[in-house]
Amino acid sequence: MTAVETPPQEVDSDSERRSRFRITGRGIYIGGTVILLLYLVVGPLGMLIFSSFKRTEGALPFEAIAPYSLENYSDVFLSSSTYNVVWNTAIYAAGALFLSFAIAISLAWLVERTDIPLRNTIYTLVIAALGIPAVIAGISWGLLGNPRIGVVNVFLRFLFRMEGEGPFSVFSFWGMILVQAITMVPVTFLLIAGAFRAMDASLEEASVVSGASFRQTVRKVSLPVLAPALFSALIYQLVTVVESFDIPLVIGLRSGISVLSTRIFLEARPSGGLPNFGIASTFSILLLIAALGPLLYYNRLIARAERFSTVTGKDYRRKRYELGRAKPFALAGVFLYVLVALILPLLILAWTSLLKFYEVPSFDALQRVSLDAYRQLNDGGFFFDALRNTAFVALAVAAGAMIIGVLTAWIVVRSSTRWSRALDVLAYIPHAMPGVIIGTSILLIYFFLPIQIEGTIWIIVVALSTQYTSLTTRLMNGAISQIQVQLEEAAEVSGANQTQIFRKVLLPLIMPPFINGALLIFLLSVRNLTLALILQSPKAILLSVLIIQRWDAGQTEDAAAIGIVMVAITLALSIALRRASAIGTTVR
Amino acid sequence: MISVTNLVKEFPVSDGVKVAVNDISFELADGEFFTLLGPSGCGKTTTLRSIAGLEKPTSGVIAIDGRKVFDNKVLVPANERQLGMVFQSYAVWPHMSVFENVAFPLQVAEERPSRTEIKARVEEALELVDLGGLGDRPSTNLSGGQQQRLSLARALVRKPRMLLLDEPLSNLDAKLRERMRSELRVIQNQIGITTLFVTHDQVEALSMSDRVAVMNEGKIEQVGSPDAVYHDPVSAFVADFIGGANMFEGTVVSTEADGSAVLKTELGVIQGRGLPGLTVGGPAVASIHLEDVELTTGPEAASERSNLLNGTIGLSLFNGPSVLYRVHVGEIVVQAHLGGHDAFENGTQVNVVFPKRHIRILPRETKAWTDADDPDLV
Repeated sequence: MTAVETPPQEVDSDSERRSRFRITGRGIYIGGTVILLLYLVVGPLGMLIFSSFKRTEGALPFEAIAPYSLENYSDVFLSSSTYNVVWNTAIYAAGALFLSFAIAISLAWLVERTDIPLRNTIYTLVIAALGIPAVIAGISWGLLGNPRIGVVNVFLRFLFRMEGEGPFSVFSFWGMILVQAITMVPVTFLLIAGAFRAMDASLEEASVVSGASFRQTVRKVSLPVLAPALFSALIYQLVTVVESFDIPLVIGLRSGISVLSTRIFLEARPSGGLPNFGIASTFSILLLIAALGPLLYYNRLIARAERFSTVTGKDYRRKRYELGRAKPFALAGVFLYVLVALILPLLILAWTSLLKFYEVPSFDALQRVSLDAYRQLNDGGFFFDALRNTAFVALAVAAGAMIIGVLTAWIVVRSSTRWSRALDVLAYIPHAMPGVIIGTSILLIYFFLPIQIEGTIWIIVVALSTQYTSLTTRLMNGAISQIQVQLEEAAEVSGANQTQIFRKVLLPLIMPPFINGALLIFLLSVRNLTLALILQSPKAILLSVLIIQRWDAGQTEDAAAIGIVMVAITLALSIALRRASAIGTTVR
Repeated sequence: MISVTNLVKEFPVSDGVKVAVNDISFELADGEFFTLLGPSGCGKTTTLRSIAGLEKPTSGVIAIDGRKVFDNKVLVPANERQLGMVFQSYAVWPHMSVFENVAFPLQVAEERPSRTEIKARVEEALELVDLGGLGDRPSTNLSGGQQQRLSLARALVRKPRMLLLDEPLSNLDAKLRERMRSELRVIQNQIGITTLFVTHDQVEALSMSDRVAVMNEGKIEQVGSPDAVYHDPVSAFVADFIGGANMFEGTVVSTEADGSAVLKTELGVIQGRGLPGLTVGGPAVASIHLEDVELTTGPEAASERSNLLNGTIGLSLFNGPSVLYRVHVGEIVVQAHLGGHDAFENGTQVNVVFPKRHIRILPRETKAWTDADDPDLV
C-alpha cells in the first residue's frame, strides 16, 4: 500500500523535494496497519485452510510426515456424527436466540416505552449482568439446576411436594439453551434498546390519530419501524450463539451434547490422546461458513439500517405507554429475570465458596460456613499467577486492540480508496472467526513460526487482540465518523503532520469512546474462556481457566471462590463501563 | 502571486468519472481579494481544496509565489503549503480553548516560536478579529459569529502566504453575515493578504471582491471586476446567476457594425448590445437586470423609445426601499425592480421599457437555464 503513495523517488528541484514521491506520513500509517492486519488475520485463516488439507493423525500439519489429502473433508462430511453436531448447533442457536430476544424485547419495551417505575435501576441491573462471565453463569446454573441438589429443584420440590429428582435439570438440551439465552440478554438488550428509545413517538401518535387501535399501531407502525434494528441485532447474536463456547463446555459436555465449537475444541485439545488439527481445521471451516454468511448479510443490513435511523425526528417528547393495572405484573416479571440472571447466580456462587463441601442452603449448613476456600485460594500457587496473568493480558489486549482499531478506523473512515475498503474487510474477518478457530489456528502458527511465544501469555495476547480487532475497529469507526473531517483538515492546513493531527486533534476528540472501548475490551478479555483455555500452558493460566480446572476436578468451592473474585472484577468493570458510556454520550 | 493553470479534477463515480473541475486557469495578484462564485456543484470548493492541498487534482499546475505545489510530478502536502483557511463549518476544535485553537498552527510549526512569542502572536491575532481577552474561554462557549472570528484568527496567526475562505459566511444569520462581510474585507485590507474566497452568494461576491470568477459546471464562465461581471455578462448563465435578470429567448434578426443587435422574441423585436458569437438566424437570449426595466404610465412616443411594450401589473411586492413587480406582457411575465415611492397598484396598465444600453444580446448556450438555478429570484 505504501507503494501507491510512494512511487520511485524523483527529485525535481530543491524546493520541490517534498513531492508526493517521498514516503508520506499517511503512507507509513496505512502500510503499517495493513501489514499488521495481514499478519494477524490472514495468517490464521491461511493456516486453517492449509491444515484442513493435511492428514494430521499424530502429526502437525506442516510436518513432512503429514501428507496432503482430502480425507479430512470426507471424514467430516461423510460422518453422521457431523450432521448430528450441526443439527445440535442449529437447534441450540434457534432456541437461545428466541428466548433471549423474547426477554430482551420485553425489557427494552418496558424500560424505554412504558411508565414502569425504577426504570434507571432496571436498566443498570440488566447491563450489570454483563459482569457475569458466561463461564460463571454456567457454573452457577450447574449448581442451581442440578437435578438432585440444585437449589431451584429443592425449592420446587418443596413447593409442589414432589419426591426424588428434578423436576428440572440444567444438564439437558433445554437447560443449556436456557442458560445460553440468559447470558445473551444484556447484549441483545443493548443492541435493541437504542432503537426503542430513538423511535419517534409521533409516528405512533400519527397512527393512533388516524384511527388505528393499539394492536394495529404495533403491527403496522411500531414493528416495521423497529424491524431493521431488531433484525440486525438478531443476525449479530446469531453469530454470537453459533460461536459460543463457554456454556456448551461447562454444561453441554457434561450432558454429552456437542456443538460445533466444542467439537473443534475436543479435536484440537482432546482430554486424552493426540490432537488432530486437520479434522479440527475442517470443522472450523464448516463453522466459519456458518458464521460468515449471516455476517456478510448483517453488514449490508447495517448500512441500510443506519440510513433508516437517521429519519428519526429531533422532537424528543416521548409519550410512555401507561401500564395501569399491569404494572405489578410487569415489575414481577422484571424481578424474576434479575433474580435468574443476576441474584441467584451470585448468591449460589457466594454460598458455595463458603462451604467445604457443597450442600443445599439451610440453617443447619450455616454453621459450617467458613472462609477456608478463600484462605486456600493460592494453595498450589496458581491463583496469584492467574490473577496477575489475567490483569496483564487484559491490559495488553485493551491497548493493542484499541490501537489497531483506531488506526484502521481512521484510515477506513477518512479515505475512500479501494485499499481502505480492503482494510475494512480485513479488520472485519475476525468477527466471523469464532474463538475456537482463532485459538486453534494461532496455536498452529506459533508451533510453526520461529517466534517463541507458544507456552507464554503473549500468545493469548496476540489471539485476543486478533479476536477483538473487528470490535474495536467498529467502535472507532462510529466514533471517528462523528468527528467532522474539517477539524482534521483545519489542523492539516495549519501545518500539522499526520502524527500531530492524530495526537492533538483526533485522539482528544474521541477520548470518551476510546476509553469506553478500552474498558469493554478489558472486560471481555477478563471474561474470555475460549482462547485462554485453548492456548493455556502451565506458565500461562488465566482466571477463567483456573475456574474450569477446579470445577472439572470437583473442587467446587475453590471454583466458586475464584469465581467470586472474578465477578468482583467484571461487575466493577461493567459498572464503570456504564458510567463511561453515560459520560461519553453527554460529552457528545 | 498564486497561479492555477489547466486545473482538472475528476472524481470516480459508479459509472465512470465526474469532472468536477474542467480545465480552469486563473491568477491572483499579491494582496488581491479574488472570489470563485457559482452554484453548488460548480467546482468552486474543489478548486479551493486543491489549492489548499486537501484534494489531489487530476492534472494541471498550481504555483504559490512561483513555487509549484502541484503538477504532474509534485504534490506538496497541505501541512507544508503555508496557507490559512477558514472552513464553512469553522472547524473550531471543541477540546481546545480559544487560545489553544489559535496557537495550534504555531505549536505544530517545524520551527516552533518561543512560548512568549506564541502568546504575543495569538493575542495579536485575537485582537485583529476583535476577540481580544477571550483566550481562556472554552471554544465551545463562543457564539457562531465568534467562532467564525476565531477560525479567521487561527488562519491568520502564522502569517500565511494566502488566505482561503470556503463559504465562511453561509452559516451566519443575515444580519451578522452583512457585518462580517465588511469586517472581513477591512481585515484583509489591513494586512494585505492574498485571499481566495468561495461563495454561492452573488451579493457577497460582488460587494467584497477585487475580481470575481463565475463558475458553472467545472468551468470559469467569466472573470472580471464585480462591475464587469454584473453589467457586462458574457453568457446567459452569468447574467442570470449574478443579477437575477429577465431573460427572453429568440432568434437573431441582424447585427450592426456598432455592436448592437436585434432579436426577435415572443415579446416582439428587442434591440440591444450584441456580444461576439452571434449569428444571424441563430438562437440568442436578451437579458436585462430587473432594476434597469422602466415602468411608466401615460402615452409614450414609440419612435423615441425602442423596446416599448404594454403590460399590466400582476403582482407587486413591497419590501421597504424598493418594490418588485411582476408585469404581464401578453402571456409573458417581466420582472421589474423599482424605487419604493409611488408604487403602482395591481392591475395598472403600464408601459414597459427596456433601455437599449441595458439590454445584452447573448449567444444562447446549449444548456437550457431555468429559474430554479437562481435561488434569489422571487
